[in-house]
Amino acid sequence: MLGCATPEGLPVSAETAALPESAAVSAPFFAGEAYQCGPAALAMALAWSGVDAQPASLAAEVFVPARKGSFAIGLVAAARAHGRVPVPIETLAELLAELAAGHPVLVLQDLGLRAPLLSRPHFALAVGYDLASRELALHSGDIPRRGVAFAPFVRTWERAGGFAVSVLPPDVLPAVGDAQRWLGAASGLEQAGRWPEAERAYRTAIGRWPDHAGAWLALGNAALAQGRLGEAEEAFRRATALDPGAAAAWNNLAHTLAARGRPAEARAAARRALALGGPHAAIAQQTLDEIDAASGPE
Amino acid sequence: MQTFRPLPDRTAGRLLAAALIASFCWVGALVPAAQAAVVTSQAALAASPAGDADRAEVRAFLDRAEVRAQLEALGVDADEARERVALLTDAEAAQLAGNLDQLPAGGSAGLAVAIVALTLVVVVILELTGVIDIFPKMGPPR
Repeated sequence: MLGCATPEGLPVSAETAALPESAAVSAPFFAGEAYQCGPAALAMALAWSGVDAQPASLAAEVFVPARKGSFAIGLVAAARAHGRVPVPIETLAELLAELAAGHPVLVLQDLGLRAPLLSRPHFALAVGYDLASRELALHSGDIPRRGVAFAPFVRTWERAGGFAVSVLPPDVLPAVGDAQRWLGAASGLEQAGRWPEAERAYRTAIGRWPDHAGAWLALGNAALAQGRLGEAEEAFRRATALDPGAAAAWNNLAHTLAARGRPAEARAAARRALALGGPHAAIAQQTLDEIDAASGPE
Repeated sequence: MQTFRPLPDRTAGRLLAAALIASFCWVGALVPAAQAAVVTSQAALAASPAGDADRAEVRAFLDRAEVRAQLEALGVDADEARERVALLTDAEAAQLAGNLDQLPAGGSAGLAVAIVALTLVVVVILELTGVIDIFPKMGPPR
């Protein structure tokens, strides 16, 4: 039946039913000069999120000369270096939900073919959609708000590996995904040394998921790294109360108590972590050794 | 007189283990210990933490070194490559290591170049076979 075929990748009506008919995110537009669509798309996403970023300066952070392009992981890492949380977006339905929530989404498409010389990977920023015309709006290359039908978009998107991220300020949760997805994206901020932003992101998580032990553990790590031992202890205690099997939280609590000069309590917490075993057992042993070295064995 | 006997299996195994441990300790000594004995949020939140934490640390160190060397080989300034690699999570470093030649790099204009080249070839063929005549001096063979 002509005109009734469902284009591949179109979200089923149940998923789009809750979405507004259309959405338009007001992200600034920067034209991507030759090969510079990566820095341009990232600059637009960062600028929307409140970071003053220009494509030219971002190019130094992400562009790879011999490949005449930028890697998706490079953009993600650079977003964290600017204190933003790059949350992965997995389906077209999620992408639309993000746009409906007012968050632009950075996408990688392959505008060419899946063949060595014919491939043309390209970064763009999704800034809107219209369900009636079944189109996305992309800030792409030198065209702002370029309309692209859902079906060809999904084809080019999947051809490039289906990479998409919402680049969010640490106090803005995505419309999609669970605590794990947000915390996983936010914890990369630690790698970039962005502890204040990491802490804000963890607090945002706790506001939404107050009983998530992982969020309290992460908050404890952020407090510990910034030298606020009392708050760290409190956060690690919350994590162990919510999940007594969290060896990492017991270990980090032990480390914090030792730093606060309470070796007996520290030793008990470290033993608890060690007894739980798992992948962090070696670190727990190290913690115990350090406590003994600092205060002498019992 | 004592005749030479090969070392019993267990002794050989122990020697090998000692050598391996020594080599790991050597690499381990190079791994910067950010915060000794604290489990990072990344490690704690990982859905399926990869077995031995020490080995994972060494692996991550080697992955980073490889990505850094590859970035430099691809024309990224040495200081810049070091900074970029420092920003990667362990999982990202593992994903990139050894793959920088294959992963899509957004911005490449491979298709545009191919289309221009293909169009030129087609035009020349059409011109030479006399189907078109847009280059007066090139014309079909008489």
